[in-house]
Amino acid sequence: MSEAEQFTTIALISVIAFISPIIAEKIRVPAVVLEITLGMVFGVSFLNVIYSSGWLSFLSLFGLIFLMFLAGLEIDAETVLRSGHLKKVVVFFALSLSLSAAFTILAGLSLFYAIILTNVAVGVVVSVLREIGIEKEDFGQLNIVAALVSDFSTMFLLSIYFLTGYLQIAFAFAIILVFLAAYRFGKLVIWYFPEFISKWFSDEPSEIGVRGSLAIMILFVGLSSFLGVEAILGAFLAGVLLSITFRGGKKLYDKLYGMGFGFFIPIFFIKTGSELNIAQAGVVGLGLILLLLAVSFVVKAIPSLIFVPNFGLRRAVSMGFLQSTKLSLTIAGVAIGVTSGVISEPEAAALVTFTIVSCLLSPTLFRLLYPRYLPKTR
Amino acid sequence: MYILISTGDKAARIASKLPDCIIVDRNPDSAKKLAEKGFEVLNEDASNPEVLARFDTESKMILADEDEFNVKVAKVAKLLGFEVFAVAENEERCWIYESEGISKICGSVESLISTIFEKNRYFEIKVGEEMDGMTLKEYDAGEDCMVISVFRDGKVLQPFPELELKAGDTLGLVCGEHVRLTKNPFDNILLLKSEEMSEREIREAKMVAERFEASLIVFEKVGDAYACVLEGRSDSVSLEEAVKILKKSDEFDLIATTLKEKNEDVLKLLVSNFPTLVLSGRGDYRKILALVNNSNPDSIINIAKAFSRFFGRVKVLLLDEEQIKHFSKFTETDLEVEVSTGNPMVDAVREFKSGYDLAILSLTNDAGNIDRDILWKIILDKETSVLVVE
Repeated sequence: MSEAEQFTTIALISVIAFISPIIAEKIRVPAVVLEITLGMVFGVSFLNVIYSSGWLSFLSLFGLIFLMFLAGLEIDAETVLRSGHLKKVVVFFALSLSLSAAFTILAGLSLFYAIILTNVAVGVVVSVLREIGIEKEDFGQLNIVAALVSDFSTMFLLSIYFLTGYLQIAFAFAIILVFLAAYRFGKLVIWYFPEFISKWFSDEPSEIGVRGSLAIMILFVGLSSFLGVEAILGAFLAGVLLSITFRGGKKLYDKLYGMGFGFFIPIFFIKTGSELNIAQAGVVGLGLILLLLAVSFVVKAIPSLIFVPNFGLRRAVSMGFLQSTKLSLTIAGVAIGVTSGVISEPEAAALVTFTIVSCLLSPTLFRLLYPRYLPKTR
Repeated sequence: MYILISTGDKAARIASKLPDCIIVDRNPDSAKKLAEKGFEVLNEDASNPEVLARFDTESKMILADEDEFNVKVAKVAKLLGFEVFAVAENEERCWIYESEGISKICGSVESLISTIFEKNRYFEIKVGEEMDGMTLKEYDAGEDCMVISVFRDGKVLQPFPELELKAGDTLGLVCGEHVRLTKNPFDNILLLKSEEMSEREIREAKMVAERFEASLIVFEKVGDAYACVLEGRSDSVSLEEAVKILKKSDEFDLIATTLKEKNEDVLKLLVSNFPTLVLSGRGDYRKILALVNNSNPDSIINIAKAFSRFFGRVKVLLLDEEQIKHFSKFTETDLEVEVSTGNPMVDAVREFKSGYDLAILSLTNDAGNIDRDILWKIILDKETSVLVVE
């Protein structure tokens, strides 16, 4: 492919990335949904004007890594640990994962599906709770903690799922050891060199904080690749490392979010959409989508019944619907699943469509079911 | 106005916390001493209805004499229509008060004050002829109260020490435990002295007590117990027992001690009852830093204000932008306020390490983002003393 064609593709993707959030805001859907949909429109499914190239693949991979890094950065360990619901949330997650695994075994699917079905889109959950104005209430906090625990655990399980052989598993634990050592080291650096670390969070033009954060992310990704472990684990752990070491730092995080969601991550979503062939999904795909939708509600709604004593039946079930929302990480999982050969192209198309529908349907069902005018807690 | 039926030191303690109070003391010697101390005193027997009948029944009556006498006065006061508060001498005999229908029974002076003021309370006082020409600095609002506004000829004046009062002015006062904490927070300081405590650390505790004009009482650690004189008898008690007795006695406001290693349980036990000063042997507090690391920062702010009155300028670092709403509380004292703009934990460590004699912080640590290990590094720092509040 000529350089001009490569630039044309990148330019087209940049325009889609630019207009997607603008249109998404008008029609009230998450920007990611529109990025994937427009990717499908301009990709192999319809217009076929997005061409693969080394550049695009690199930018898309970097987008995926950035997405995982920011997912790690979003993990708020303090919120999770301080929550009075942590034990029940762990039970909720374990039940949800067990039901998902039971379903995949019965349906003859790979356990990859169980992980996808247990996953939840934290960003969407928080936005919906904020929209209703209950994010600070006990029920809102429970949902946020449940989403964080599910997100962290499924992300971790997904990374481990793609490991093959004992050596890789050992290497994955080696990365975790490096992570723990880096955490201890980070605290020492804060204590002994606060002047230097404060520069990370300042507005100096050298942007030391952004450079340092990206260096940590790439070091962990590099280490993962070197040890033959999936790069997303390294990126995710790098994000968690920054999150638990610095425990906040809005300015720096805003800059990193700006870089990620402003450029790299949309490229990943648009490219993923462009490579999906909707026609390939076919009638079988439609059946799979409907089945996954139904199961994704069931595997969350049943475990959520453990919260009936705290919040009543209607609230507990509404929580199940909200927790079944899928988005970014599911798409990331699908992308890796296709690359590693765990799922086929038609399955990927069905999974992405399922994700988009879930992202739109689950919060809507939650809003319909959530009893706004009942007492806040029981 | 408050009518206090009491005698001796107890009367002085209560009266000093009330803005407008007359003591009715049946003991001539005690009444004379109280008058010499500047209190308004009437040497009469309050159980005599004629004595109480002289007062406006809008006034609040506080009974803090012996229980039997209190009950006797209460009967008369209720008949005359006074609102009555009582400080029971012996809590086990509260039933006597209950049987007389006195609803406000308070087991200690402190709980009496909080009951009366319901934490913070606003009220107004008219400036009479006798106060005309007096400056605000000269006006004694009592330990628990401070003037927050002066109303004159339909205008509101911002109070400042040199403001001259005029007859007919109305003073807006805020009273409560928090105000007392900023004015004279420590009457009695307890030094928990261990064998490892250095001379410098003991000197520091003495310096603090002298500066606040507080008494310094020493409990000496012998083995695992503290040798102390409590309630008139010598004893050897565990730390838990000592804290329990001290809390009950209501006498102490601050504990000074040393900590050589991280001990969350001990510090939590102390801090949940009294602000605790972890000594490091500083000779003076020339540089003081208040790290506002809790979501309810009143205790830190009050103590910072108190230290700024007795030691000079205090730097207050707000770790959360939300805390700016407490800014109005800083206006009258010598506090330098800064808000963390980067990472609060990093800013706190950087500021702390720039060299302070004293740091004030909260063990609750639910605002900002200071890691628990880092918090303990600050508390155990050998170069800086740390005053820990709950």
